Amino acid sequence: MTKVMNNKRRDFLKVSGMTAALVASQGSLFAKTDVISVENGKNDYPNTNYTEEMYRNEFAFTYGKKEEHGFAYHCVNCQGNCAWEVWSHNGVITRENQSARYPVINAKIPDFNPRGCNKGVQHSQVMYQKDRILYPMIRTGERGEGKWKRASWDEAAEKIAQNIFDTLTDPERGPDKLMVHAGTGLLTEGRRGSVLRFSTQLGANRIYPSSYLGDMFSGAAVAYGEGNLGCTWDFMYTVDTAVMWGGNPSVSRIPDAHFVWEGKYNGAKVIVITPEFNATAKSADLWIPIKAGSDNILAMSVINVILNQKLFKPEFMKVYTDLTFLVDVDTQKMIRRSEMEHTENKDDHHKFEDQFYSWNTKTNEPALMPGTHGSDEHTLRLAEYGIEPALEGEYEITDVHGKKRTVITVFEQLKAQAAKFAPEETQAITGVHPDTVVQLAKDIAIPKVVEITTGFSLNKYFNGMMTIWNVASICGLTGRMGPYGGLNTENEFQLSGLGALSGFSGKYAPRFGSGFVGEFMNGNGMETFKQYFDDEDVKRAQNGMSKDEYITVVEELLAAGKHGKANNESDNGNVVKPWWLPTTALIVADSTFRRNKGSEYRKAFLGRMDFFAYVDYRMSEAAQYADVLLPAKSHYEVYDLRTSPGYHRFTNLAQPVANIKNVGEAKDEWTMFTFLAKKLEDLAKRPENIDKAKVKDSPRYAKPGYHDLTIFHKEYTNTDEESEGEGEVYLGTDKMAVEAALEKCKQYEPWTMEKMYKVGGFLLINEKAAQTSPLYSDKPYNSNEFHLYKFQPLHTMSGRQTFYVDHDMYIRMGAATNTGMEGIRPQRKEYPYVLMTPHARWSIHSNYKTSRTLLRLQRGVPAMQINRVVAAKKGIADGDTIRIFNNIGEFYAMAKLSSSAPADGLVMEHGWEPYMYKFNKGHNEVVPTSLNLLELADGWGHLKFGGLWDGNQYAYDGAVNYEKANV
Amino acid sequence: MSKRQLAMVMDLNKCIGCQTCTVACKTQWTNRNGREYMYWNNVETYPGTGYPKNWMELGGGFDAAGDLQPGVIPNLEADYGVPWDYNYDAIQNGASFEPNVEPTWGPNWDEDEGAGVFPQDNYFFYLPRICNHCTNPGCLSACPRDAIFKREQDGVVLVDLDRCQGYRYCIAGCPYKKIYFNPKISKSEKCILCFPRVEQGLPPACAQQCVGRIRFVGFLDDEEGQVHKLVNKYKVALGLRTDYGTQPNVYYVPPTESPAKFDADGKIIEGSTRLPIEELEKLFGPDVHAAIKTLKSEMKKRKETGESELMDLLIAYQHSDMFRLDNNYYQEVAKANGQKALAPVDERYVAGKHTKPAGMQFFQGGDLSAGGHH
Repeated sequence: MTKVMNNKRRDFLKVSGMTAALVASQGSLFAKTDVISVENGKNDYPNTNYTEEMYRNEFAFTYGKKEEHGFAYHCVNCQGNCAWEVWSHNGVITRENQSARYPVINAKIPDFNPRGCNKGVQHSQVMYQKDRILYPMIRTGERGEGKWKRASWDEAAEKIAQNIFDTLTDPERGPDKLMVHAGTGLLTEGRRGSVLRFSTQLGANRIYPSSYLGDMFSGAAVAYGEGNLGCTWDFMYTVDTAVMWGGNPSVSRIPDAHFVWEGKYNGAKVIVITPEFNATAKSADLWIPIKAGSDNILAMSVINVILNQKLFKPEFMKVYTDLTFLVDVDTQKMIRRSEMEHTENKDDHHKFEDQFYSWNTKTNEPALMPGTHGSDEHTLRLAEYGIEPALEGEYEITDVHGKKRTVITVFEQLKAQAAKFAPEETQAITGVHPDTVVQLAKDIAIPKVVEITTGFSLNKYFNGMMTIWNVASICGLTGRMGPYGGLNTENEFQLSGLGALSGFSGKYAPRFGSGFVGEFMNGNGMETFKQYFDDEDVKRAQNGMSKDEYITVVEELLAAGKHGKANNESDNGNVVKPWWLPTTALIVADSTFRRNKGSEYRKAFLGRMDFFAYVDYRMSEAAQYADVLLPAKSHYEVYDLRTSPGYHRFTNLAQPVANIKNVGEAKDEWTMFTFLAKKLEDLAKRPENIDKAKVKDSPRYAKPGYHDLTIFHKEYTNTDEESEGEGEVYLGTDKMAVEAALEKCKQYEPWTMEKMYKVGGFLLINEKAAQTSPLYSDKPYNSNEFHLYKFQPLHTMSGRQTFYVDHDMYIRMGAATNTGMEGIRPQRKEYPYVLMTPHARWSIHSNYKTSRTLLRLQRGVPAMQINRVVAAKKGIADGDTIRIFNNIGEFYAMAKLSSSAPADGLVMEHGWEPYMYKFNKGHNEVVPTSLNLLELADGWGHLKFGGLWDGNQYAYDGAVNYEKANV
Repeated sequence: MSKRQLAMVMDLNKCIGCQTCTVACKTQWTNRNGREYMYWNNVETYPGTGYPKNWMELGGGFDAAGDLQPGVIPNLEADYGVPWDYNYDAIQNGASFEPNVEPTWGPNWDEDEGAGVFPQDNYFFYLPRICNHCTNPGCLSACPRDAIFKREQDGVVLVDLDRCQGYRYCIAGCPYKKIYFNPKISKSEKCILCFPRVEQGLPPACAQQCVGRIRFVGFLDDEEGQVHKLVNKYKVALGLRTDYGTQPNVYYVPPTESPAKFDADGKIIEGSTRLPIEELEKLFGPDVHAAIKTLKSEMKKRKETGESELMDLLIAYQHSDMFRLDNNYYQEVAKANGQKALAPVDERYVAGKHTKPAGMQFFQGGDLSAGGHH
């Protein structure tokens, strides 16, 4: 056959100009063996060895020696956490390959292999990329100007220690003017502890990442007293319906997405609710293209259908929810025991405030309900108390003052709210056809097992809290807990004992500030708010409250939260969101200017900061503006541990390849902070300093009333007298931290590093990791089984799933029970498009955004998906540069014309560093900032500021317009 | 004909377009030495222009008479995309981060764009592509040097880098445009099905590292293997553009899953699919009708009865079961050729027609119970 074809070759080859030039210029490189006659290359080719050996050698080079391989995971904020085997040659990392050795949990359920993604698979490339920070550097020009001098570790550490010392010992400043904070570029159980420990020991301020990232599941916290709940993702394989509400797992949950599609082959119905068409929607059974941000209203319509069509489960609701609790129709407040009984005892008074009533149909009178926060009866077994609570109805009760009061059940309240959201009424807002709402309600209510996964996009809308609360309530009405499914925000397993690394057995406590409020204050958010939103926007989103009134209310709450004032004065827990405005900052792995909203944040932050040191392995935008830069090691160069919050039950090991060659002068964070601690201690012990080296602080943060800097390094490493006496673990390097964590954390028992290495770079956490359900050896995990089967109360005020919050602010917002509210995003004609910046396929926030390997698989520059039809009307062609703008800012991106983008929206993955855009203007230039009063509200039941209850920084409130740009 | 053929099946219902395969391949083979612009493995969004641009219209392959068809060699800048780089050094100096070449085209340029009217009937799916290691390779037939060959033992198609002269007729001759010119060595290179990994017991990087678990690798004649069952028993895995006449050995489970369409009022059109059957027929030939019918009826059976061997296969409970690399066979071939047999670096994927499964499954020993789960 070959011969025949040779005659035709001249015609059939058409070479383009450029390629021809390439060939011509390189035409001299030929290596040849002797003449070989080949009849037909399909059979018995005579010269296979040359080529085969070449590729075999190449493979052998990349593979290196098996016994020299390392293991690692990528501890950035995807939370996916996958075990990778790291290959190397002579101490230089060549590539990574998933370990893929996780054991089968159940032979009838797909396993977790080969866990990983497109970003993890190229860390070997970015770790040697030239945006790596190689040496300590000290700024010599203006901030951000890019003038540096290379410094020794000694010099750089000295400078940081001096600034910390000066801040702490200055009578005008002190610990609350210092921020020591680790961002989400470093989420591990080992290394992260080094920064947290340093921060806590100094009494420095830090803020909750999930809050400032808009990743806090505040609506779930309201409902369940726990924001992080749900399943290990193998559970998805077992469900009848999987709803991805605002979620796109095929893009942003890549290692686990297979469970969804395998579950579909196993008979599950997959429903996706997203404004855009995406990689998950493309294979779903039902895709519901909702108008951006109207999810809380769609959820109310689903509740409306569930109630009207009697799809709810009354017996479940009576036991496991507060829907039977009695509410005064006039005050909208729940009836408390303190209103029904006198007590002289102060403790009892607090308890009486947290006890509630239902109407007992057996006795036809109000019954004090067991299991509430203030109750001494820690169970929901109502039968044992002779209680059969009424779900519906209006009753009259007589309070302790002999006053007659008309009460109704919470369920009646819910019914009244839900009645306002008939599917026919909400279609105009949600864009969802009423028939689809009915279908959705049935698909959720009727099957046996239904899991509703709420995507991280939902919290990025102003009323995202309401969305998740409403979705939780759908689950509550339909009896979804434990084996029957339910709400899946993000399961989190319990790890105990890790405080040994980051804490001090209570001697020092962290000075936590609110994440979303802290950043609002850091960036002068109120100025942006005032500039961007008008009266109408605020009224729409805050139950008719005017802009002026809103500002007054917010400013009062902010004043109460300043330096944690109101919390410090409270005798019954936190009552407000605390915040500090630091003037010295040491920040680790947090591209803070990139992620904060509005165009003024960076200026405001830097304007306030006397000194700003930054630690990272890569040159983020935050690094560009630092005064001192310290180079960190990256994920393959360290010892560390990481347990996924709860997508799976494995803890992964980081152990470097044999004889690893250091990249520049990078240090792991434990070694680095131990070095800084030593510098600080030495400085404090100098004769001129020793007198002021005991830094006074409130006993709330430092039990002794001070931080003693003369023993700072000793305390940091647990080599001080007191720690040695207590037998605390020694600390000081990344490897020591791993060993300490394995020793201290009960859920890691009985694993060792050697054993983890041997099985493939991981361990299985043991049954003690279970939070609200058992962690069975052979079944996927899903939350709240203890609640369902053992009648254990939830950690909520009512001990049950919460449908009613009678906080004054909630009543004022018309949101004491589930309701729907339109968002704060302006609806002005000039800016008719919503800017959506979902979690990325190509980066984890800004991590890996500058990867050459990954950028070549995109458009190479920030690109915006815009609807083809709209683009055509605007005269925009694919590849054009477009200007996206509103009244607070503008930025530029490449137009990517798409059939997957809605007409009224723009879709672009988030995480781009501002320096990647034209004129260094990032997309957050057009994103305003605001605070939702429902999340600002505090001091009620289980809604008290802390890791459970903070709030969210919103990202999708920017209404914009766009045009073809001439730049 | 080679004695045996190693083949791959890719399930397009499970492909999530994450490109972990693409990057795994890149770090294994193409991030160096003149291969930087090449994607031996790529994933394109269909419908779309594909990679290289409009590859389906660039000729090559054979006509019905078995005659090789003329073809066009794609242009680096316009059709493959220049592997642009960045000014990494300058970021620390406060500069903007900029590509050194203005990106105008790349291997995933039309990612997720799809076609149709949003939201009524727009759609897309992903089409991952590697060399098809064809039984009748267009590249091989086009080579004037006869420097392209199929390995006897497994049918892997390789360019003889000793004898290749860089004439590039092969590129024109391949209808899939899966063979590339390496300007640095002035020879052609292509996907080698990771044969050096396979010989040592590791599946091809794109397949082993596929997190969507869409890829099965095994010998077509291995009747116990998933590849054989999907291709020959159930006939749900079909070659891509078999009308090109090259007899490709990469097979696809065609996409069957898409959400229902909406009418102009936003009402669900019950029973509708967004995947136009004529498009699927164009890609996978007339057999696609029967394949879809089988897939749909087995899905229905699974939903109703909980049973279906086909669904069991596609679900693939254990990742390691997706690969049957028959390591004994490779050892025997090496011995027969008088070569030193390479020891496997991994025992998990070695089973096959000539290789009984390893005696002990990983992790069934003492390690699990030590974890305290019982």
